[in-house]
Amino acid sequence: MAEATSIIAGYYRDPQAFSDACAAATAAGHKPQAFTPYPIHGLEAKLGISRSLIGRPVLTVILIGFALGLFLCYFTQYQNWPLNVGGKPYFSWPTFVVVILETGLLLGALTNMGVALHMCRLLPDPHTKLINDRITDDTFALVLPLANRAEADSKSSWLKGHGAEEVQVLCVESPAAAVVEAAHV
Amino acid sequence: MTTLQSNDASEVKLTASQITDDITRPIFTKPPLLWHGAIAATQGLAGLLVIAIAFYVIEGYGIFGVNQPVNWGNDITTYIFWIGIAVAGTLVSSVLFLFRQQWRTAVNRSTEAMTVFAVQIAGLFPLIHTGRPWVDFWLMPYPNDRLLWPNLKSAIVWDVFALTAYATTSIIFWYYGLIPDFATVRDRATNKWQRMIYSVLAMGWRGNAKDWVHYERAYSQFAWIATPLVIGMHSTIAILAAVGKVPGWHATIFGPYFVSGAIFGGLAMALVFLIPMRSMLKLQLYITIDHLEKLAKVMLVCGLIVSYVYLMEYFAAWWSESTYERHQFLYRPLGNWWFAWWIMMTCNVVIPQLLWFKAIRRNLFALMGIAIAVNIGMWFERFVIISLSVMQDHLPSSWDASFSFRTFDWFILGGSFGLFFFFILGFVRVVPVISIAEIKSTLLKPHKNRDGHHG
Repeated sequence: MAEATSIIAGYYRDPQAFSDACAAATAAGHKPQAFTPYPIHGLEAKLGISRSLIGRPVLTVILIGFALGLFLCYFTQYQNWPLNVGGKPYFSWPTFVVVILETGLLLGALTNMGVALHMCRLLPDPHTKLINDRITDDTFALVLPLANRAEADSKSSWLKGHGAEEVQVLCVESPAAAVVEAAHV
Repeated sequence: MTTLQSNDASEVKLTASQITDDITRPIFTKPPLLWHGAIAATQGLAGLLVIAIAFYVIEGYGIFGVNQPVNWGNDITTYIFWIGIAVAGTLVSSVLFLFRQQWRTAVNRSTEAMTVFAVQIAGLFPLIHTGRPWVDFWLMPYPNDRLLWPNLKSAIVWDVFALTAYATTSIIFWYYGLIPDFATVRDRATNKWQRMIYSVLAMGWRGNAKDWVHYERAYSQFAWIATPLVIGMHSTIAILAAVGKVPGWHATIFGPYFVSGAIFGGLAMALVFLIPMRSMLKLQLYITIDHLEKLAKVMLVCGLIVSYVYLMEYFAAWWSESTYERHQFLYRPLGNWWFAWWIMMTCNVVIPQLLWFKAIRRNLFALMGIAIAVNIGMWFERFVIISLSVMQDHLPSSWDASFSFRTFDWFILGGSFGLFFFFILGFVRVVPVISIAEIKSTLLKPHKNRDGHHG
């Protein structure tokens, strides 16, 4: 289904016009995807993107990390090999605070990285090619899926009517990612 | 802040592509001769560190000047010095981020780089200090042959945990912030290999609006995680001294004292390389005198806290009526190493008072001079606290006779500076020194600067 993987991209230089077009495309039910060189605040609301929930796994892991740190201290200092240090109790919790805190936060930081990379689908890739190189520079791309070839003209004029400076029809491997191996149709 | 404040505060309209060009220029152009010279010089200096470590592995710890009762000499002093430098970078990247200080955007990437390099250099010193660095893995808790665990009640082991967690988090946080910028470099690279390398580093970043939502969320979470880590890191070092019953170390004020001292010295180090960097890379529009002045103001505040503690320590020594405390605090300015204390006081208390004057804060030569003085002062501060406190123990026959600063002490001290500036010089040619995506979103807000970026 070559047609199912066709997309049309409208390019903008003006972030304001781009944001307005995103809102209009969402309202018109075009299922747009937006690509921007830098984050635009408020854009996610216009595109109907819900807020990121990646705080939850990270917080969970931090709490588990605290428990693990406590367990490490309890097991090594009290259970496995109790060592008398200056006649202090074997389980002297105030001396464990640093270990508990650092273990939890380190695991939290690693999880934060892992979850963020996973959610953004980031993996080392030596041949990344975006639909347009200027997306990481000064150009905003509003990408709409094309159900068939005939839709290209109507959506092209829709994009131009909503301020697109340039419109391009592309055939991509994966419409969801809309990135790799873009080729002109 | 939607417009850039240039040196004469006139408004300069910038376009997104101009920002990209300006910041990625050092990556795509050939470095000047001066850069090659600086790289060679710093590399040579860093070579001294390598030589010293090689000799140390062969000959043993005796090549350094430490001896009873001064077991903590140059290596631990330099360790704490570099950790302090690292702390200031995290202050800019995390604490100022959480306080929504947008001016940090101009300097956060380079101060984070400073953190990453300084923390690695710092980490070398305790590893050297153990005496047998090839068995340093014994510091980590793992099930071993003898079924022994490290003593987790020991402040030394806390430090292992704090440094490991802090260094790891700083490095991944820095890399995480670089991902969109690596993508920008990737898409502008014309050389095949360059494009491939930056493509791997950018991990396929696309700039999808959905990704930005997750990205920004995780970024602020990193800041939330790094803030307690950095305070914990330097407080742990402070506790390491404070739990010891040594006059001069045994003070409850050490936590905030060390943290503010670290920020003080670290921002001074940031100024030392930011001032030449901004003019050599022609980034005066982005790293403005206003930004440097703000750094100087934070430095002044931390300097005042440090000065307060210097005086407070004397008050506490007098008030405690402890013979040994009083002896220690009189020994510092009047003993054999009197000059260390006087350099510390001059560089950290007297000279920074010049920062009260706006004209001096905005004069780059003056600022650079003060920053260098503070760096010197902060090294001596750690030397005064760490080494001078143990110089005179309870056995007067060993007083002052044994400790000295030997050739290899100079090698590891000078070599650590060489390595640091070698890293910085490399960094400015391969990594965007200002966060491109962040500075664009700060400077090009759509509602205010609507027509400002059509070029």
